Amino acid sequence: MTDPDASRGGPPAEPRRGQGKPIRERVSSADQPSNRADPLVRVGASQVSEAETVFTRSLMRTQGRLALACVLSFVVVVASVTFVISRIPELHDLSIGGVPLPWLIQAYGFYPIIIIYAVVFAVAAMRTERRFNALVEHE
Amino acid sequence: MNPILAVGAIALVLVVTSLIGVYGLRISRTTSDFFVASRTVRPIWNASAISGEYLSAGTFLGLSGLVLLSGSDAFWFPIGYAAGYLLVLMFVAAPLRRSGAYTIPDFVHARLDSITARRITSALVLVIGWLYIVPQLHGAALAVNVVADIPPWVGAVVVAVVVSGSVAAGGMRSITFVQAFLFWLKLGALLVPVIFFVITIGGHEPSIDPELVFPAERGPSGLDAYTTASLLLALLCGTIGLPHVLVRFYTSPTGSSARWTTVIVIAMISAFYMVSGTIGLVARATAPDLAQPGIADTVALLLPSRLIPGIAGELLTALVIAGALAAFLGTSSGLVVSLSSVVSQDLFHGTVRSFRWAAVVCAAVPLGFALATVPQGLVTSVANVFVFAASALSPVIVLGIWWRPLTARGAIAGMLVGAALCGAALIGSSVFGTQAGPAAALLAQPGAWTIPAAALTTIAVSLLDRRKPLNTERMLSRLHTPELPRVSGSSSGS
Repeated sequence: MTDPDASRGGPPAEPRRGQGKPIRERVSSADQPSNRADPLVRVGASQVSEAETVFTRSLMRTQGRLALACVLSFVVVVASVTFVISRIPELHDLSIGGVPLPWLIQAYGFYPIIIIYAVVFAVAAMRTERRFNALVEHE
Repeated sequence: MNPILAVGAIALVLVVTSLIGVYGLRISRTTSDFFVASRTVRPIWNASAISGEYLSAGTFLGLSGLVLLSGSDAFWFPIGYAAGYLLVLMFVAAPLRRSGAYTIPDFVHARLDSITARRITSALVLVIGWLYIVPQLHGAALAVNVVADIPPWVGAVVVAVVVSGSVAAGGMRSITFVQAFLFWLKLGALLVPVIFFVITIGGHEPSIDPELVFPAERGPSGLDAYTTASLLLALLCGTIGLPHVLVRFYTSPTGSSARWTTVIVIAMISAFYMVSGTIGLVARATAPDLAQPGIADTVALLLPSRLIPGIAGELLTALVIAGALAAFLGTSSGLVVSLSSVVSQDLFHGTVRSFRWAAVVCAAVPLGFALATVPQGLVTSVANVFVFAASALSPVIVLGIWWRPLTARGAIAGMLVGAALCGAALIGSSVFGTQAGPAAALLAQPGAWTIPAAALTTIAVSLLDRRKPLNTERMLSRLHTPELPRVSGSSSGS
């Protein structure tokens, strides 16, 4: 049901053969992929050893902790910026081009924070996965 | 205002959109092409397409309108929409791509192994999608009425017909390119006028009184803590539950490219929101007379001809109209694609033929709804959809990816509780309005209590339930295991 077409079997299976090239999906015909011998759902499990399951659990914990830490610190940063622009009336007297500073910060200031968090998280998550892959390769 | 230029701009966008759609038709051949563009779309194009789909009438017209109408509170909406993608990035982007499912119901079905959970998810996805299309059609009606004096229903009908037609013709492959084009059009259509405004206003010293135009009580210091926090929570969590957002990740080749795509999306939509917010600030300084409910949402369309005299102003107006049309088309066609995938896979085993019919139905229903209702503020109606998605779907999706003990019954209970509470609160808020007294804010911004209620219900019922899905371990390892056991660092090449 989740699997009306078998083309998605490609990415998880082929890289393990390790040609070192980016994986490209080839779509030749609608029927052909369904002739594949191994069902796709097993792609993960059949190649995952017991040690790998342990690794996967710890990977999941690490990634989850990373995401939570990022979100919590993001909320703290946003809350403190909000506190500063809303509760310090003196800021209202400063203005650029006629627009008071709190308005400017509210209009433009939060996006750089969001972008920085996005990049930091993506890099950190990638590093965790690279470490996981190195571990699995050693097995 | 010159109606010929306006109609010309609208026609041009429609022609280009359908050309890209038709070009896409020639390369869309298989079922998998139709649903997910065969997963071969590059991150930069995919990111443009996601942004093109995400930026709707709500932020193209509605944001500047709300800044003009109510002040800096309006900026919380785009901040929440952008930060919502941050949560998508952190909690769902890569795992959902690896799940290999086409739609949210597919994912729920695969994770929980329950056809009932799947059906309920599909029903919620349909409701969310339809509710989201309605403000787009309202926006289209409003826009054509203001700029070209065309009766409002024409705008809504034209958008619905174009969207269902192009989706039925090309499926997602062509929609990806259409969306990518529409994003750059939307950005350009606001950026160019903003540059002109800044030059014009910067040229002569503005004679505004800051205390009048940007009063402190309309600024950040006037914020209400509960309303703001509840709104932000809902917008942050809501993006995860939107059907057209998730379906896009299935077109990324790997989990980590899905992640980088999301980072690019965040940068792109942030740029757009800053530009759109600037129009709101300019509007406060130059067009205070438009600050009335119902009219304020058209300020982005009216400003160019007010500030810049002559043919230049007319051309800029035509450009903004083209961008506005792109906003209506982009979001609605993205939604129609994902809704049609859900309908055709749930009811008709996912054939191309059923996908085409589903596209027509999925545009017709909200069209009927849009024609029968009166437009509210565009930003707030879009935000209500986020609240609903955040209450009904987001908790189950996030727990499904990160929480082992989740069961089908837990998910079903959580979705039903979230949807019922949030639906009741929003309906109650529109019925009672401010008469609800101290509860008015709780009903108008229910996210702060409906989202935790849905999540806690899901957790409690799952823990009590002894019928665990059998494939949890396999599914979770599939979601979280990175693709490449590493030879070359090519997977993240964005």
